[in-house]
Amino acid sequence: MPAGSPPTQTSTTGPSTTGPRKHDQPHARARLISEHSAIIAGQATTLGVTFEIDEHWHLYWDGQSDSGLPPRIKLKLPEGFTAGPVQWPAPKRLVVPGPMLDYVYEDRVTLLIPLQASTMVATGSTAEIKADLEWLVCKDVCVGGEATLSLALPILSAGQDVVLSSDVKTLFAQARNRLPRQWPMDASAPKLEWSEDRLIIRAADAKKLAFYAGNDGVPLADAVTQGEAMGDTLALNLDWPSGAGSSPRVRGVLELWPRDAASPSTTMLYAVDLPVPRDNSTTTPPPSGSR
Amino acid sequence: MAIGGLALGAAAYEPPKDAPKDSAAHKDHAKVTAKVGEKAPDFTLTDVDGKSWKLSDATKAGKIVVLEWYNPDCPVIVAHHKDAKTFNELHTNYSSKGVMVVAINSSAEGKQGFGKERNAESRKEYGIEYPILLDAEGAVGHMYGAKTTPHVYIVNKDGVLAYAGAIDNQKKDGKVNYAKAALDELLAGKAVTTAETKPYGCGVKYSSK
Repeated sequence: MPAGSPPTQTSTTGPSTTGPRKHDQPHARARLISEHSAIIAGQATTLGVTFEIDEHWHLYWDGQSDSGLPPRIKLKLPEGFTAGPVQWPAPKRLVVPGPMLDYVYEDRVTLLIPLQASTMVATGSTAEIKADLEWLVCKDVCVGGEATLSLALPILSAGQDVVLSSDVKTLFAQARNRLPRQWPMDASAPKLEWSEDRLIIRAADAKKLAFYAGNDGVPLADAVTQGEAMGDTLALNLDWPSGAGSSPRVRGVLELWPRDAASPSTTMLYAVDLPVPRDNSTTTPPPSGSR
Repeated sequence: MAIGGLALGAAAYEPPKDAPKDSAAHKDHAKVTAKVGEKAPDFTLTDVDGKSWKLSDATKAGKIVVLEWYNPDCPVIVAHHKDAKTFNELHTNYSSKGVMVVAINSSAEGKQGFGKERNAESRKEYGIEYPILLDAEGAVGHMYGAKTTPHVYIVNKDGVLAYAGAIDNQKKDGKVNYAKAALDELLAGKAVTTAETKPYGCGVKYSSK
């Protein structure tokens, strides 16, 4: 096995089914990629599932869209390999007739999955990694897609050269660029003000703010009109108590467009995971560590 | 301005400060009045055979009613009617116990799944044995806040909304059918433990106007 040879990829479509709903990979084509060309026992890399999406069509983020379904990934890993949770790049908002609010991906998205090789994996062999995928891709209509993808990752010995796969570098960079960062623990953090069932977020340097409601958080009462605002203030009415459990939290992603941005597409993305204060206090304890 | 499922570069709808009441996406739709724990909003709709169906007629006759928001061409609906017979089974297993299942299609004219013909045809295609009601104006869909197909609502014998949300928890192992669980509890005279969940499926195809 030549050192540093890139992983090979085969793509087979899932079982075909009758009827119009599963067309293999209609309107979105999936690839399974690896950030590095090989892996060394005891070390890690990142896998990616990249979807190339037809114009006007979209896939769904793993959050509180009013409709749709995020892609489902089932990894089949050989002995000695473990995968971390999927990392979802931040989505964009899409208002659809209803009106309803969905959080979607367009054009292209790469979902990232950390992969760890134990120290026991056999050097000189190849890890066969499989991914069963199912997704819903929609325009104004929705179509289901599915694919079974595989990737052969050479396992090298310590000291051998493991290089970044150059052809997919951009895909990983684009995905990482859209991962939310940890909520700042210093004065630069946006200010939070709670009152009754309302959370007001203020960021002095922002010309636009948007909040994307994530899973297991209190839903927004009106994501369509309140989820995004021009200026430095975002006021969110929360759908609480009907949508809350015993320890409600606001979860999701805050996107901030800075006033003095180097380019129009430069934004800040923060992971949000805040406990809803029970006593309607106007200040909040610092947010707990985010994902 | 049509706000369809096409983003075309617009990241989101941002309402102008003095938006007229009938501008797109702010049309004065019927407000959502359905709320779990309260009386389910009554309605009358026509089915694909032209017959009229009224919710309170069913509940006054002592029925528990399961509403399935439906679109014959949504892949999630197809999965529940072809691969699995999720809703037909509710009908088959529970109608002798006083439960009535009814599908409601709120697809607007011109949208996927719209119309008497397509829905009548789908009834044969999927072997659906219960009524399919047509709500092309979307009035009932908006009253209930129906977002997805399927979106399930269960009305108890007193006409109170006892469950709203997904048909199941989507898991392949350890699948929980929320509608079945709710029906079993209602039939045993108990309160519904999981009364509200987040629904999943394709978006209901309301009018863009």
